[in-house]
This record gives sequence, C-alpha cells and structure tokens, in this order.
Amino acid sequence: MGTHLQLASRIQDTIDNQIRDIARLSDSDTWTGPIALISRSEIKATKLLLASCVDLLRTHHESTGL
Amino acid sequence: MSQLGCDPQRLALLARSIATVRDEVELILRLTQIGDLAIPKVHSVLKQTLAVFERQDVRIRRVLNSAFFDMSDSYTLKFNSAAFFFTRWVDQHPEWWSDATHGEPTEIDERLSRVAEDPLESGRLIDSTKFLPPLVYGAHDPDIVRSLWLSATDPRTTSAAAAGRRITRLVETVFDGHDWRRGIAPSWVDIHEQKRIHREIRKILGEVITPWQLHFTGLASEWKWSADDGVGYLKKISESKEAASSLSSGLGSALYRNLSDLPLDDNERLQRIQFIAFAVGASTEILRGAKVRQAQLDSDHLAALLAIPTMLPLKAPWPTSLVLGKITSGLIQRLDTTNDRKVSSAIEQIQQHQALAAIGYMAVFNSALTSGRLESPLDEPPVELKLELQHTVDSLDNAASRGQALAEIHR
Repeated sequence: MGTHLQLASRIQDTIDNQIRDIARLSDSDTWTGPIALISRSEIKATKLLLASCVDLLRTHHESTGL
Repeated sequence: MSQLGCDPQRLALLARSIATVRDEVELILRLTQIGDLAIPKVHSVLKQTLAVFERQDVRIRRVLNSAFFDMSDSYTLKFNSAAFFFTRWVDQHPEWWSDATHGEPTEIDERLSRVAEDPLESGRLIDSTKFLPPLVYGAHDPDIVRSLWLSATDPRTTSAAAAGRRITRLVETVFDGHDWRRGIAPSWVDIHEQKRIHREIRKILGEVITPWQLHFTGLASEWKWSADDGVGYLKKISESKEAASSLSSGLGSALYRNLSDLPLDDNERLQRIQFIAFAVGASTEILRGAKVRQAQLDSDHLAALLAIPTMLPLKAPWPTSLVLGKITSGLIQRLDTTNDRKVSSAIEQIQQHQALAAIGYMAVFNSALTSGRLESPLDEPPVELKLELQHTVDSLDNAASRGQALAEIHR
C-alpha cells in the first residue's frame, strides 16, 4: 500500500475509533447533568474535516499512483 | 456544572480521549510536512482539525481545573469533596466571617480541622478554593488556621512553586481589600474578637512565610512575582512584633536551606548565592527598620544553627578574617553617622551578617560535599570551591547592601 493510502487509512481509524469515543463520552443524552461539553455539531465538523483529508489522500494516490 | 462534576470519571475519560486524538492529529500533521506526503490542502485541513481539538481540550481542562477537582497531570482524577462542600457551605452562609467572632467554634473550624494536619489535603483545599478569606478569617480558633497553612506550606513537603502559589494568595487576602465583610449588622460582630483574630492572623502569617522569606526579595523570580511587591508585603508583615520575631529567628534556617541545594552549573550557582545574599540583606534591613528588638537573632537559636555542620573542620581561617574585616569597616561607618538607638541596631545587624555569613559558608560547603564536588570534609577544598565559599561570605556580608537599598527604598 502506498504512503498516501496508509495515511488515509490511519486517519479513517481515528474517525472510526477515537472520535467515536469522544462522541460517546460527550453525548448529552447520557450525561448525569444537562450540559454537553462538546456538541454534536462539533463532533460532526471534526469528522467531516478528517474525512475530507482521507478523500484528498485517496484522490492523490489515484492520480499519481504513489 | 455541579452535576457534571459528580461524574468525574467520565470527565477524565473524555479529557484523555481528546488528548489522544489531538496528539494523533498533531502527528499526522507533521507527517504531511515530509516528502511525498506534503500536500498543502491536506495540511491546511489538518491544521483546522487540530485547532478544534485544542479548543475542546482547553474547555475540558477548564472544567477539570475548577474548584471541585484535583487533577494530576496523568488525568488521575479525584473528586475534591472537601473543597466542593466547603465552597458550597460558604456560598450559603454569607455571615461566616462574623460567626468566627462569637466565642465558640464555627462550622468552618470543624471543616478545616478535618484536613489541617495533613499537608496534602490542606494544600488541595487551599488550591481548590477560589475565594480564600474563609480559609483565613473563618475559624474562631487560630490554631486550626495555623495548622492548615503551616501544613500546606511546609518546606519539607511542599515545592517552592506550590508554596509560592499559596503564600502569594494568602498575603493578598490579608493585605488587600476586605470587601467580603458586608451584609451583616454591626451588632452581630464582636469587634474585640475580630481584632483578636486579625492580630492572630498577622502572627500566623509571620510563621508561614518565615521559611520562605527569601522568596519575597532575592528569590522572588522563583515565585513569578516582583521583589518590589515582595518587599512591600514583607515590611507590612514585619509590623507585627510576633511576626518579626518569627522572621528573625527563622532567617538562618531559611538561608541554610536555600544554600544547601545549589545548581550544578557554576554560573547558576554563583548567581543563586548572589540572589540569596541579596535577600538576606533585604530581610535584615527590614527587620532593623521595624525597630523591634526581636529582630536580633536569638543567640541560642543561632548557636543551634551554627552547630548543624559540626562535623565540618573549618580549617581555613580565611573566611572568618574576611568577615571580621568587613564588619570593622561597616561598623565604623555606621557609628559615625547614626544616633545611639540606630548604633545598637546597626551593630546587631552587622553581627547578624557575620553569623549569617558563617551559616552560608557551611551550607555551601555541605552542598559541595553532597553534590560530590568535594569528596571528604577532611580534604583541602579545591581553588574553585574556595572562591565560591569566599564569594558566599563576601556576598552575605556585603549583602547585602543591595538588598538593604531595596528595603530602604520601600521605607
């Protein structure tokens, strides 16, 4: 696997595991209190940013073959 | 916020998760600066992502560092129930400060006495309590307040940084505005008891700062405040006779402790000796300026201090003669220009410097032994060490002229 794809895969893992953990821990529905420290829209924004990196890296791999 | 605070484990996990993902994104960001992976667009998006996680990290830390938690660097979280319930009780009882004047133990006496003997718990309570006056003026029994603050600032168990954070807050609480004293009918306050408490607090303040008095002047930078501020507070504190007495009798120990642990780097070591000498000069001048007889070092106490390194053979007579030479010239200079009362205090001060220079000499000698720069106390000190010892004696005797000058400016 090329280095770009390896990096894309690493970022995808971050989305699938670490960001999911943060979403679970900050979910206001399951807090004992009423305040969500990190909102759902913030979680969504970070996922989108990282997903766009994955897309860019994959596109770069396909166009250059690296 | 208080409800969130009741789930500390979850907050800790969230903090750890955010720190982990932030580190991961930071690593990926660095990778995208290297070779084939350097794609500007990806780099830019990752930077945006990192900024989001950093903001979240700051937000979580703010909660974790709030008054209700103790958190170590490793995210091991412990709910600080003492601070939480103390703060809540004070919020609900604005009359806390007048209760202390009613001649019997208060709720605050009870709460403080639970932690006052424990250095760790005392320190945590102080650090986690944003509004400090109840920890100073809230108890009827000053011994409880004394125990709390002495435990939390004991140099044997407290780092200089932690003691600095606590003591600077303490002196600000004592000497800055007392706006919190409101909302209570004057008839509800026993003025005599209030005066007694205030007098006792000044005395306690003297005891608390005694081992750290050099950090009010020469070593002020270690506490991240200015020597100007420090000298101002030191002067105010020394206006209490008991506090001045405590400062005076503890000056030798403070000097010995600070000179016993010197940096390994030659320049840093000499600089620290210089800073300490400066601080000693400021302290002795402030105590002399306070015109209290307690300012003279108690001879028994001094003898005990001088006996600390009795195992050291002070074979070289040169430092002693050096000290005596300085004393003679300094004494003549002072006798020429001062009246009787000032003469006696000047003589006392010079005697103090002589004694303190001897203590400094021995502390530096001991430091050289413990750091391995001198293998045995029986060995002839190498030239560098001799120069350093001479520098110490010289600095402490001359001291402290610069420290004195600073103290005089604030007179």
